[in-house]
Amino acid sequence: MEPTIVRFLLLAAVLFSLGLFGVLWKRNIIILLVSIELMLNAVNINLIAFSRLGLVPNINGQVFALFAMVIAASEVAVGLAVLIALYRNRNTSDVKDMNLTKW
Amino acid sequence: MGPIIEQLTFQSVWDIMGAEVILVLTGFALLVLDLFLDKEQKKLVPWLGILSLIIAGGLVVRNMINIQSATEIGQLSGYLYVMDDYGSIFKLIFIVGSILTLLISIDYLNHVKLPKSEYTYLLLFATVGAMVMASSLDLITIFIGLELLSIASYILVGMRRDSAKSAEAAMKYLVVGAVGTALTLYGMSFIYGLTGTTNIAMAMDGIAGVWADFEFLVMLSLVMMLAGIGIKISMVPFQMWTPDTYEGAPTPITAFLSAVSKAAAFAMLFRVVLFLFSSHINEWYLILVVLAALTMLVGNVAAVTQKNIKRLMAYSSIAQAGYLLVPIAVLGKAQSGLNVFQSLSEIVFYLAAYVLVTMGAFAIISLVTRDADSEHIESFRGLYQRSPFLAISMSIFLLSMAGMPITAGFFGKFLIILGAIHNQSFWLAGIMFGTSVISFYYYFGIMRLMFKKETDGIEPKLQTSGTLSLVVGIALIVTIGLGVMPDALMDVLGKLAWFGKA
Amino acid sequence: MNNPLLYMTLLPLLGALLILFVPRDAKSQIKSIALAATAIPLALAGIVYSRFDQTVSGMQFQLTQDWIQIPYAFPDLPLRIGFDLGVDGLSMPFLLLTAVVSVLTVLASWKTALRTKEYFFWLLLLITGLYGVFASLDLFVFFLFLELTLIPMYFLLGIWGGERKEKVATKFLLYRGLASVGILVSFLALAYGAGYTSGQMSFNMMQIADVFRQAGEGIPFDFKNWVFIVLFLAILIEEAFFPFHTWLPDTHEQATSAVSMIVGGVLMKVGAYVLLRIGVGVLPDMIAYFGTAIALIGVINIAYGAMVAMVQKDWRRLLAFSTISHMGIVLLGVASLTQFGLQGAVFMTISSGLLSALLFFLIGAMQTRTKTLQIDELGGISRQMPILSGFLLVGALGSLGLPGMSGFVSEIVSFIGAFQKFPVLAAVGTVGIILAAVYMLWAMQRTTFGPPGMALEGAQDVTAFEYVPILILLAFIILIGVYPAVLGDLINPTLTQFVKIGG
Repeated sequence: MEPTIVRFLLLAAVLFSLGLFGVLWKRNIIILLVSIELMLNAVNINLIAFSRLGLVPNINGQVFALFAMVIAASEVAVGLAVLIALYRNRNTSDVKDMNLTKW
Repeated sequence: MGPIIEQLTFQSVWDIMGAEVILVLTGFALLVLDLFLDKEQKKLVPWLGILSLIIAGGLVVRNMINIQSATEIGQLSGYLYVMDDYGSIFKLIFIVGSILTLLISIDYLNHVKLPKSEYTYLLLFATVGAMVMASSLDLITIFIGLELLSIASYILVGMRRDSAKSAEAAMKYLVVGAVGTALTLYGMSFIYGLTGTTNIAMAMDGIAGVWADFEFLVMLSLVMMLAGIGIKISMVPFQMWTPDTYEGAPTPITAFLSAVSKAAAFAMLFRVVLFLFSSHINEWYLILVVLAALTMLVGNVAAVTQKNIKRLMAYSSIAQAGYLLVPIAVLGKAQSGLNVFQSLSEIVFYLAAYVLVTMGAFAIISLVTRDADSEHIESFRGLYQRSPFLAISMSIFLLSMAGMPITAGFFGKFLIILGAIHNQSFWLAGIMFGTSVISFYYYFGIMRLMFKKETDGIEPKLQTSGTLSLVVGIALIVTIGLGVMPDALMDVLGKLAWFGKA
Repeated sequence: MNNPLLYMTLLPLLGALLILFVPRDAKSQIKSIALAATAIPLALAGIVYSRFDQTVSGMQFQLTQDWIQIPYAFPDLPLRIGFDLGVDGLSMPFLLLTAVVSVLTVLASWKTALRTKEYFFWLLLLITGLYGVFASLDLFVFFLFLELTLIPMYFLLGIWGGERKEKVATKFLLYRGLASVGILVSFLALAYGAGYTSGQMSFNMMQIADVFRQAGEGIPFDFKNWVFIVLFLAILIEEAFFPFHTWLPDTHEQATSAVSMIVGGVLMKVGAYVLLRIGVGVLPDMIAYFGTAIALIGVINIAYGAMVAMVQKDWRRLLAFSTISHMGIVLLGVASLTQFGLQGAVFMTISSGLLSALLFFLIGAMQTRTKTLQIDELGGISRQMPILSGFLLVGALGSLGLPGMSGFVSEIVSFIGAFQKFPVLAAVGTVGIILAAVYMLWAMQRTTFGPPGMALEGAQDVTAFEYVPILILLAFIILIGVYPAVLGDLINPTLTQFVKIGG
């Protein structure tokens, strides 16, 4: 592939890895949700880059990215709702306090 | 794009995805109705859900009959969504699973205060998500289906708002599940980038063409998608959420996750593996072999020490996922297309048996744990004295999970072993056997507890409700029926035109 | 479907299901059902035996019934699984053994007071499994029945067993579960091997045996080699051979004497049957190839079983090790692959089954009176119970191979066969017979004579009810001992066929 797309792919890969790192190492659930957003949006960069510069450029990638955004938004919305329920019950948003069931 | 839009008429949508339409409409209707119904009327809502599921099931059966005489498979929008027997048979499994889940839920909701309408329509939406996963032939649609199922399940798991355990379970499931989503999506983006299409069948040809040039990217995409789907089917090493979520979720939802949600992920896994990466399967099938072996081992070994019945069932379901991976893993050594059909029949047979057994077992677990107000396996002590019917039924379900004769589980396992040996995967067959023997330990442990006489005091008889008895009865009939006459299902599977008659 | 074998197999199952519908307190009805469900098959077994043509070698009373067709399992044709039953000279004695011992087991369980209903339910289920194992001609059906024996045994041990019952029941389950795994793997491999050779796949053992016989060298040596090793390992576990034997003494020690009767009498003979039917019947060249190794394992077991039996403090463990020693002789006989050796192996298996049933019954009768089976705590029972100790002595003598009883014939014939092929090993093996005399008689002496170890005041001698099983079993043991042709004529045509293939 041409060098331009490699830059986009690398950017996406870095963002994706950062997000994954955040999910695995961060303690606060809000940061966790943000990290997940980061991963999902890294994918969007990928999709849009491919849509323009991929082996077979076409519009499908942008359509896909739109769907991915919607899904990401709803996923985080549910995540926050669950977090509120959790906070009401436990008064904490720290992962290490989630110990009612053995992790 | 022009002609594709022309194809989309109401008639064609109804013909191809009538079942999904019914369920979605019912879901929205319930959403609105919820505002107008009083407390007594809301008790009918789950029954409405069951009714819609039965109608949807009828429509799926209609599709399966139609396709027998059709010359080509039905499809929408340029093979975005297809109507083939592969999807239909999985849909039937999901629908039956959801009906049984709702039946268990009716009893559960009578004792635990949860919003009945929300519960019902979320379950319906989750079922639609599963059905979309089985039937779409496009990465975008499959992704939408996956998310519809996932998001609805996250909410269902966390529905007990007063329970910290439930919220915690939902949180864990959501975080892990969302990571799975991101991984799957990341994998899909490379498929699209390399082939320029999101249609799975077209991407299959594309992948085969670019495999040599971009092997790293294709493998990356494969691994990412496997990891994402692996989270859904609780494949080792992505299984750690399973016991926690199963423990915290409302019991009927645990049953739903362990049966329907898992079956849907398998439908997706098979379709994706078969279409996208099959051209070079003999280069990467070892990944699946190792994962299947690990999943069987970890699930069974970890289950041995469990004292909480729902956690035990969680590990048991991990082990079952391992068994179900075997037919896919052995395809690496397949010699002909017939092996694919063999693996498919194995998976469908085992899933059908597994879904029913799981539902039956969870119906009993739901009753027993509520009665004892404890999820410790000791609550099963002396169950035979308190209710012989439940104890014997539970024993038969456990025997089926362990793979003992005259149950559907035995024959399902036998089929999988047969396929493994047919494809010369002796090691995998051996591991499956060995781990099954380990599983005897904990399944028989529960059975022994149930038949023990020594209970702590005089226990009252255990009263079952009508719906629970119905679930147990259906599961029992099918489990024994398929054990004695597996031909009944084998015949149907033999006649199916899985991906059309081509 | 009008086949006596089918009825024999399914009647106990029917009885078990009937029992489920009888109220828990109607104990006499439950027992009558159990007795009928085992006595009628015994009568049927008698009819089959009387109509059995002893001059031919093939299967008789065949039932061929299609059951399951599995598509895609094999190129072109679906795989057929049939509910095929049949009996030949090899399975006939095993069926008779099952029939006799199962009725006597029900009689021996007559006084079971603890959860009578469930006890007889599981027992009848076990008996159905045993009949099915010996009557089925389809490997799948065979395996199904073999697995079916596991479940009832688990409960019979786990609920009605002794103080360590739970651990032992689990141990039994895991060991035998592992054994059935090996058996199934080797069965599937055999079926596929035969399928690829003949182009048509089936689980019928006769067909598989035919294909293997006709193909001869056509089936790769390595393949047969591995299949046999897996099968043989499974049999070693199944038959509790050293070093996989530890479950057997535990099982016998914890099981009730009635359950021990059917375990020692019939269930423990399934492995030998598989060895003869599949090992010798389908893979005789592998038996010949591994002959020395098998004989060596046999001799090790003869000696090991006998020596360990000597130091046992509990009668039940002693008998368990004596069984292991006896079954070592079976291996020795089979390894020789001669007419005499095979004949001896069958004789030994049947004889050991009858003697185990008798001895475990007697031990059980003794236990109800003395409350212990620790040899050290026993003593002087001959004074209080002369008849019981007399019978015990007769059983012990039969077990150590007294001429005129079945054990003697079995040992002689086996060793004649073994000496033809492995003179040195066979000579070592005979030492086991001498040891048998030592441990049996020593244990007898400590039990029957000397100062009474236990309070035996008022202990009753053998009751009329107990005479029945004792005399019936003794009659068979002496019949075989005095007139071996009664068994020999039955099995010889089939064994001749085997030797012809293997030779």
